[in-house]
Amino acid sequence: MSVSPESTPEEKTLAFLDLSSFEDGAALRGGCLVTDSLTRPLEFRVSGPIRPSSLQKVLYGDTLHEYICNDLIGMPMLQTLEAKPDLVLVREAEFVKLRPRIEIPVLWVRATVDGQFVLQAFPGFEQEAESGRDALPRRLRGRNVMEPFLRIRSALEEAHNLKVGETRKA
Amino acid sequence: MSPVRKTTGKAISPLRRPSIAGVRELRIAAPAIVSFPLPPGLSLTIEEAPTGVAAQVPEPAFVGLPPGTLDRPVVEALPTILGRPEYAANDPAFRLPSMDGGRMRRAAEQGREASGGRPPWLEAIAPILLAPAQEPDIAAALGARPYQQDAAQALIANPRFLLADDPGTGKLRAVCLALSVLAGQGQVHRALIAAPRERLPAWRRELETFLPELERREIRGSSAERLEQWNVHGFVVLSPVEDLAEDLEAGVPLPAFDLILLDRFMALVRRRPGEIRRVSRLEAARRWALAGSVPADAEDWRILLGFLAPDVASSPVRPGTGELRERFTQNVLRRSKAELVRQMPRLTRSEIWLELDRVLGPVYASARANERERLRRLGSSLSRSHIQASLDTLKQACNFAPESYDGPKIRALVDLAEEITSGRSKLVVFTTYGETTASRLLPALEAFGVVRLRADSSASEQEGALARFRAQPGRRVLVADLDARGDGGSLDPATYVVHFDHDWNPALRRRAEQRFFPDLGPTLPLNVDELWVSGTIEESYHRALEERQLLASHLPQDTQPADLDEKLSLEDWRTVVFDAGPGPASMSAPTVVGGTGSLPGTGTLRSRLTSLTPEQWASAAESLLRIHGFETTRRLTSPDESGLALLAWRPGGGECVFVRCLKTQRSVGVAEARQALEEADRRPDCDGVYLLATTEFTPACKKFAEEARGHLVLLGGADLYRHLRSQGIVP
Repeated sequence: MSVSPESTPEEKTLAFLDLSSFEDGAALRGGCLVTDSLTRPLEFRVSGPIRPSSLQKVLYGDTLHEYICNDLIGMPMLQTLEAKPDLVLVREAEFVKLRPRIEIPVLWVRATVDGQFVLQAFPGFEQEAESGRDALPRRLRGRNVMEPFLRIRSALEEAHNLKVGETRKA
Repeated sequence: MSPVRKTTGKAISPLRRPSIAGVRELRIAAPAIVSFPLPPGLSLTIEEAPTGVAAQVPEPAFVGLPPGTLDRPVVEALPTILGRPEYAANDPAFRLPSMDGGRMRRAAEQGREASGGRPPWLEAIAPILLAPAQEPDIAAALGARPYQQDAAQALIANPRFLLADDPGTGKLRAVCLALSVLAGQGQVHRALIAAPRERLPAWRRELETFLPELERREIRGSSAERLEQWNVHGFVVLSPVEDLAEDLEAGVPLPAFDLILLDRFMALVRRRPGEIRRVSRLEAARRWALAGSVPADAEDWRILLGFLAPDVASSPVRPGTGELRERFTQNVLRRSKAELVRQMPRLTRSEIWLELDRVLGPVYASARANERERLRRLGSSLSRSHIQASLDTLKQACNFAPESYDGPKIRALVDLAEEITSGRSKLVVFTTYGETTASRLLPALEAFGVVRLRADSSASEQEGALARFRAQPGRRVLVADLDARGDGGSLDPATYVVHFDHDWNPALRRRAEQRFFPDLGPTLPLNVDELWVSGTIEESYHRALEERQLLASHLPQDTQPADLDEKLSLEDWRTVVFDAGPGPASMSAPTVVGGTGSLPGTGTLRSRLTSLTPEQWASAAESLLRIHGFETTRRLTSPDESGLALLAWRPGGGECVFVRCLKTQRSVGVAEARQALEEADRRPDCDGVYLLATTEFTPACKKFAEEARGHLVLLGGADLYRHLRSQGIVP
């Protein structure tokens, strides 16, 4: 009964980082939900819309998605979090490339062909996938690991409908 | 070479702002300009102004919802909360990042001012982010029985409701179910659960197990501490009724609740009716009460009505019991175990965890420190007898406050008895410490009609006691020694068993239950409750047993007590349970001194004994008495520099002796011995005197003791030292 707080998976602070596209792919928004071990929200950040032009899409080419995920959403968002997470879980593989640039483990929640979910780390940080799985609270085992992402997606849709973050334009 | 390339290069290069993307563009553009110099005559000038394309994807604006604030929109639905000062515009909860040169922050603040101090989109998004509440079907999968789901439905449907099912049917689970649904529907945002202090650990465990995602706060501590705690948000707020009533009386501003629940209502009606009336003044749309039965008389109904429907209760017309009952039928659900027998298991075993209070806490801490030190010093001479003696000492320290019938365990038992007997059910209370515990239980339980079953009474006396308990409706509580024989029949009228204090070996409890309920469960389901005290030695060995799957609920039916005797090794007991690691080597090494064989010399001996603190001396004396067969002791005076007086009993209410413990540096003479005998004479229940001294007795005193023909026993000097040394109390 006297397990130290550091060793208790139930007490980890988790960040769920995701992005979602709107307007038939014309706009993208990022969202980061920081929760306690029971996935109760501690903090949520939503980005304003990112609308790359056609020319920008051509010029950035394959690097555009990576650039948006890491430079425009991932790094600034994680840097501005007030609740510092112990683990960042992402559904979009591009976010994993954040790992060499930050000190927090970033794990990609990847669906397998048999419908299961596995955690995958950035090359060179493979041991974090193992420890991250052990650190994952019971509530998030199995398919439940996707549930907070669904919340983020719903929240991003709502934010987009409400034009959150578009005040600069206005 | 086409001049078009040159103008195209010009068009791309001038970016409005330097950025990572811009630099990339510049690098790409450079070869287009430099690599192909054109003859001036071939150059083509475009009349239109160069067109700039910002290839850099603009930085998005970031909007932050900072820590701990996402629950607040839920609270904001309550108007009284919205007005609280912590929601002022400069609240860091709504602080936005200083990105974008502060433009974002200023724009958002302007928008916030327009929307009454909150970001306008906050309310829409925050509920989406909340963790999903448990749905009823999930709850059912977690173990809620159908009748508990029915009760939850009734609670949801009735804002004012009394759930009065028999104790032990799982009302807490039904409430948790109802809470989860109402939370999910957004109908309840802040609930207050008030109960007797001893009941709160059960709520804590139930909520933690069943609704971990609902934020929980517990109000505890001094009135000043509580003042702060009321301001902290929580979905479910737990408070002892007594503290809540005190805070209300003191005019502490409480937040608004949209649900108030009073648990153990009938016990509160009996013990704290005034506090119920004070709590009734709190306003809340939903008001629920939990009890083990419905009120029996008009006054109880009025108190209930005063809580559930204060508006009706304050009417000048005072309706009678029948009318009240009639009026409130729709708001009461009462089912006995007989009605639920098919849905309940035949045997339900529960652990009721309690906490030491302010009185018992220090007493226990002191006893524990003594026992731990003793075990540590015993080193390799530790035996199971030592362990058992320490366990007994510490477990009894949890039972009652010194010189009283009070304590958390007895309060929990009385509340339970109140709820059980008000539903006309009967209860068996087991104790392992015979008369020591029973003598204090009986006065506390007398009001419920109590019968005593002693292990040391004759078979006919035991049969008579059991016959009285079975036949007389007014005798609702049987206080039985765990090793009482019984009469071989089942105690069918009783459907509740409480183990007030229990041996560490769970098979002993199981054996007693089987002895009194041979069919394991009478015609009605049997509820067995074990009282445990958290933060004590009980929690330590509970954990050790749990790890080994040796708790009562885990044991196979035919497990015998002897099967478990060796399951915890001596080292387990010392290090895991008592946390008393072996002492330093020098401690256990024999001390070779001159004078008394292996014992220290007289001077050293005296100095070591007299250097004991009063409390150490008292504990040492008690330990010594246990070795002499006196399992139970009671202090008559507080230990001081001169010593103390005790009463000591042999097991089963056997011989009782008066014990005078003298802490002195001179030899004890006849005067002290005579004085001790005179003190014992004033106590008719005493069969003799033990005189304990830190020094030797004079020859005259020894002769005086011989002449007392066994009524006076002297223990002191080398004999006493030997005993204390063997237990590690002195080096």
